[in-house]
Amino acid sequence: MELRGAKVKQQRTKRAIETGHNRTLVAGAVFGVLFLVLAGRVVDLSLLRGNQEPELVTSPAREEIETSRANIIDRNGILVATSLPTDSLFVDSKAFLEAGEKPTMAARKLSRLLPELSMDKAVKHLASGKRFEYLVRNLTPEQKYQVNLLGIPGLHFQREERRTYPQGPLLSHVLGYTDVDGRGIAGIEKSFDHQLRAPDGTLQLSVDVRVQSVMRQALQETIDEFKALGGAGVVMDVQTGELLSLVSLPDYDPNDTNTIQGDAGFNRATKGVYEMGSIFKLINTAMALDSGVVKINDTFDATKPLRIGRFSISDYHPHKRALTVPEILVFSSNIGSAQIALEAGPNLQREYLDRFGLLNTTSVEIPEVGSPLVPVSWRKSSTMTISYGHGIAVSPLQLDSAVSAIANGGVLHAPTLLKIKKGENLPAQRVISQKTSEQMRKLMRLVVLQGSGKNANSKYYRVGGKTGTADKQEGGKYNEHSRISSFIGVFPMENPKYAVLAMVDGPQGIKRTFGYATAGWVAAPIVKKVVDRIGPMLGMSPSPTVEEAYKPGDPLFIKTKG
Amino acid sequence: MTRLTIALTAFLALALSIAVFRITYQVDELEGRLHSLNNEILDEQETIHILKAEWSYLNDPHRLEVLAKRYLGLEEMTGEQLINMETLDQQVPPTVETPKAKPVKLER
Repeated sequence: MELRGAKVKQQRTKRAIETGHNRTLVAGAVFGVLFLVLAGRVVDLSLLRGNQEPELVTSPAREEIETSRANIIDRNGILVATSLPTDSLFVDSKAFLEAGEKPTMAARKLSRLLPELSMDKAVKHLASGKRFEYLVRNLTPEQKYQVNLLGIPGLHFQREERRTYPQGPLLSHVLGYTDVDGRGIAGIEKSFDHQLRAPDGTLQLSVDVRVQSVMRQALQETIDEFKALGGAGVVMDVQTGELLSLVSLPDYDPNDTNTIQGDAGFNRATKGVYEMGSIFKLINTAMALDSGVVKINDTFDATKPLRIGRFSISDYHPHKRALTVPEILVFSSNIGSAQIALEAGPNLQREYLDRFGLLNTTSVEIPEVGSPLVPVSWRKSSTMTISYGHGIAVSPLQLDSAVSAIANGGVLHAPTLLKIKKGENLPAQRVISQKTSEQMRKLMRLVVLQGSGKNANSKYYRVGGKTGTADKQEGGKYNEHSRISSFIGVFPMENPKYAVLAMVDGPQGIKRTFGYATAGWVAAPIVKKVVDRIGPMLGMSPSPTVEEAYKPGDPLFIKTKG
Repeated sequence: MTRLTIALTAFLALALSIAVFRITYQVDELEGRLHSLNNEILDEQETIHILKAEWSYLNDPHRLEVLAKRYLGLEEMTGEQLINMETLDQQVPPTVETPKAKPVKLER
C-alpha cells in the first residue's frame, strides 16, 4: 500500500513536469519566432534597404538662389536684369510708442541717415500707432547698419527684393522696368511678367549688349552733335527677324524710375510712328519691279515738278531729264517715284504695303508698339506721296523689318526680341520674289556707291541702303526746319545678314555739314560707324574688295555727273 | 551556464544602449553641422548672385571700351583684321610695325 501510494505520487509529479516542459517549449517557440522576425527586420534595414533611408535634412539642390523674379540674359548669356535681396525699413509704431520714444527725436535721427525720408513723413509714420508702416524701401547694407546702430525700438527690417539692371540705361526701352513691388510695368518686364515670376523662368533675349552699346553710343554722339531731340536705332538679323539692338534716345535708367522724365520713357523705335521719307522709295521700287508694272530700264520724265491739285511734287536735287528706274532711286527723285506709283495704282500699292506689314501694328514682344497712320481715303494724291514716304507714318522697327524682307530674298519675318534656338521653325511670309530681291540688293548698293548714301559706305563691308529725310508735320503743315533724318543699311550686300536703321529726330544743320541736316549727313554716318564696329564683333569676314562697276548699256549703269 | 548567459546578455544590452546613445548624439551633431553648412551654402549662393550682377555691371561694354583704350592702348577692331581661309593666300604679309599698345606695368 505504501509502495503503491508512492508510485502514484511519482507518476503525478512526472505528469506535472511534462506539462511544464511542454508549456515552456511552446512559449520558447513563440519567442523564438518573434526574435527571428526582429532579426530578419534588422538585417533587412541594415543590409538590404540601408541606402533607402529617408533623408532627414534636405540640402540646397539648386545652383541659383530662389528669387521672386527670374533673370533676363542677353543672347550671349550676359545678365541684363536680376533681382537682388535688400532690406526695407518699417516701424511697429505701437511698440515704438510703448517704449516711450519721442517721434520727433527719432525722426530727426532717421532723416539724417536716410535722405529720401522727410522729417514730416517720418514723424507721421512713427506716431501713427499702427503695427506696420513702411519708412524707406530698399536700404543699402550701409544704411541698414547705421539704422541698427541708432537702436530705436520698434524699427524692423523686412527682407525684400529689388530689380536691378547692371547695364543701367543701355537696354532701358527693351527691358522696361518694375514697380516697387516687383511687378513689370513696361517693356519685356511687363509682357513676360507671368513667366518671370515662375520658378526658373529665365528669359534669353535676342539682343546683344555689345551691339546695343555700339548703336546707342553712335546715336548719342550724333544727337549731341546735331542738337537733335532724339533718335532710334535698330539692328535686325534679316534671316531670322531677331533684333540685336533696339535703341531709343533719350532713355532712362531703369534702376531709378525718377529718371523717366519728358519723353525719355517714349520708345521712338517701336511706339513712335514717323513719315520716314525716301526710304519708302525702296518699297515703291520693289513693288513696281515685283508686280512687273515697270521694267528696270523704263524711263520717267523728271524735268518739271508734278502738279496734283494744290500740291506740287518736286525733287530735292532736280536732274531735269528723263530718269530710269535705278536713277530714280539713286537720285531719290520724288517726281519719278510718284509716276511709278501711279503706274501701279492705289490698289496694288496698298496690297504691297500690307504684305510688307506696313499697314498693321507690328507684333513684337513689348507692349509699347505704335500703330501706323495711313490715309483714311486712299486718293491719287496719297498714292503719289506714299511712294516717297509722306502721308504714311510707320515705326522705325516696322520699316526695318520690311526692308529686311526686300534684301533677304523676299521673305518677311516678324521682328522678335527673344533669341531663336537653332533649328526652330520660323514663321515667314514671302512678299517679293527672289529675283526682285536680287535686283533690289543691287539698287541699294548703288545708292550707297553713287547716291545719297555715300557716307554709309564702309571700307570693309558692302553696305546697301537708302536715305530718308522728311520734314515733320506741325499743325498740319510741314516744317522745313524740323525733320526726321534716317538711313537704313543692309550688309554685307553679297549675302545680307543684318539690317541697320538709324533715325534722328529734329537734327539741326552744323558748320561741318555746311548747314545740312539731311539723312546723308546725319544718319548715314551712324550706320557706317555701327557696321564697321559690329561686323568684326559678330565675326563677319570682310567683303571682297574687288567690286565690278556697271558698264554703259547695263540698265544699272548710272552717270552721276551731267 | 545560465548565470553566464544572463551576465553576457546584460553586458551586451548595456554596451548596445551606450553605443546607440553615442550614435544618436553624433547624428544630432552632424545634422546640426549639415544645417549650418546648408545655410552657409545659401549665403554663398546669395553672394555669388550679387557678385554676378556686379560682374555684369563692371563688364558694361562702354566701360570696358574706355578702360581698354586708356590703359591697354587697344583700338577698335576693324574688318581689316579678319581674313577668310579662301583669301588667305591673297593677303600680303603685314609689314612689321611697332604696335600702338605699349607694355603696361601692372600695379600690384
